[in-house]
Amino acid sequence: MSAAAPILAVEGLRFAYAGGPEVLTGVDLTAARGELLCILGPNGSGKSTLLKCLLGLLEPAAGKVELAGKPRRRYGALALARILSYVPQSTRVAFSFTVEQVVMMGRTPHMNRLGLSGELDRRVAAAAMEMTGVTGLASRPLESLSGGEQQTVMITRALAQQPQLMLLDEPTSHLDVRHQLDIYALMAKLAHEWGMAVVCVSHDVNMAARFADRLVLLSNGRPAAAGAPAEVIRAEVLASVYQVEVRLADVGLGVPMVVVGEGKEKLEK
Amino acid sequence: MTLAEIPRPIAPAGELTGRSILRTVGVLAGVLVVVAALCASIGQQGWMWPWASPARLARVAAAMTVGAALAVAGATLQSLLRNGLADPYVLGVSGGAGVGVLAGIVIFGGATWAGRTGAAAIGAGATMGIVYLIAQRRGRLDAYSLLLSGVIINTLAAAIMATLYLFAQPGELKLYINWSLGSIPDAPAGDLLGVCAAATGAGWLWLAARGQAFNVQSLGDDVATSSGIHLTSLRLQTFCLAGVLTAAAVALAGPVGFVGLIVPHVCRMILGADHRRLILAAGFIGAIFLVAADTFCRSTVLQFGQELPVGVVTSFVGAPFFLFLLRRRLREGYL
Repeated sequence: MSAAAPILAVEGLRFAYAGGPEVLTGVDLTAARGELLCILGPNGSGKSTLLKCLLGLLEPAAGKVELAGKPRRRYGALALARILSYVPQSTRVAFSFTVEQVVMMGRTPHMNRLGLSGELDRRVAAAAMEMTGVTGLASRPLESLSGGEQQTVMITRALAQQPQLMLLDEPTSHLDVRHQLDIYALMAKLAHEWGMAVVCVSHDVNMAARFADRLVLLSNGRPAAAGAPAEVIRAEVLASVYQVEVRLADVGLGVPMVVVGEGKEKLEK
Repeated sequence: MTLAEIPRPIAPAGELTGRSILRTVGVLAGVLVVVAALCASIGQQGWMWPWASPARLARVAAAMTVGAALAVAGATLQSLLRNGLADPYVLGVSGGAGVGVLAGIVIFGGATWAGRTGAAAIGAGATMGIVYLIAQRRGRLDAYSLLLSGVIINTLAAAIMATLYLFAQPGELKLYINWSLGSIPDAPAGDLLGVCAAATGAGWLWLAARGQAFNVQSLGDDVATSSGIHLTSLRLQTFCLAGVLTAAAVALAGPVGFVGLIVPHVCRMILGADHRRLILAAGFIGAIFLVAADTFCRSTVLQFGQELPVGVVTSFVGAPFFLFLLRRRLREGYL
């Protein structure tokens, strides 16, 4: 990977919901252009909270979040939207929009004050659809598509925003294995071929290990391990974070497959 | 390689341009002018030139204002609340206005038309304030709590009105029921009509200019925020302006039903969900629909022995048409 300056730099990030315990207890991470970073961790480890802090939906209690070398707070909403885009876990659209309309919505931060698109907006949207292979679906209503297609369209929308950094929140959690594979391959392509920094919160250790350039494993609101997949996918690390018995199997994919054995209670007996 | 460098000159065919929006506006404005002129020339005694009766022109203008205001308020509130069942009255405006009018009639004997308008305005303003105070948290409006507090305030208003019924004379009740069905006044006061029409026009254009923000917020709060939309400000603007539009309509004609719920759906089914065109179109189609419905009410006084409330006519005409569109969409396989 290129040794470019990180587009995202997080240092000592802390957050607590009002009156509750600290959910993030000091997170450090960076993401550079051209790399796919997956954030792993058990439920409640702070993955989604971290993503919300990065998006600016939650205001961290302490620590700093820098985007392209500038504190996130110093960006206006529009300036932020031009370098960072977001793909949610799933989308339920209230009204019937076509694929093309949804993708064009990604151009919103680039449109004029009346929200009208220009020639460049339309060209970029068309190019984004071509890249992710949804051009053929352009005039279909979003809700008539399968879950995998919908998620691809939402990624296309985020792509049309022309960000330097794309954040995704468990984008494959509702998808079958085939579509999970497609989405991970697409995220890797966004990073490697189109030079974007892609940060994806994930539950799927194996998919993340296979496609990501780097992994961050969160545990109790802080990284328990971070680095290349081979450094993070270690039986003793995963076992202590997820509280399960873990075996690693080499199936010739370059990274070991994680196979989960007995849960903590049985282990203790 | 960045996206913009990739040469793909093919534009998305369905994307709206300023020109295509203007074309839609031109066509709808033309239809509105023709329909309004036609309606203004129809009277109980047959045809006459539209300019021959200033009172009738005022009534046509009032119907246009009420129709546009309700349709625009309905379209934007459905979008804001992400709920196709929302109508302009969901914020408690009609409930509050109803309490105001009924209280005015029962307590003060305020039977004049001007008195009812004032009482309606006070009641509507008060309930909107209460709904806002309940739904906001540190100035931020949440769509779901807005919907809920509106529904609850309407329920409370219904309870207050039910209590007031007990103290009302039969004549006073009849007066209230006539108001509550909604009708366009025969000779609307010029000042009131002017204020309501100006407020409607301004609110309509302001909301229409936010069309793309409404589009993006249909994808959810997080996506909208990350696209650079100030959701708090959009919600506050929509809440206030939709409230003003609804209050203008209620002040002119009482709570006319159905227009604000159905016209936005009809527009979506015909023109698609893109709010940059939808909000503009809803105003025109609402105006056209209500002028036509009100003309029917005016011209059939002799046949029915009294004027039908326009709210009743809009339901009779609108419901079958809506069901027709609904069935067509269902046959096409999706809603």
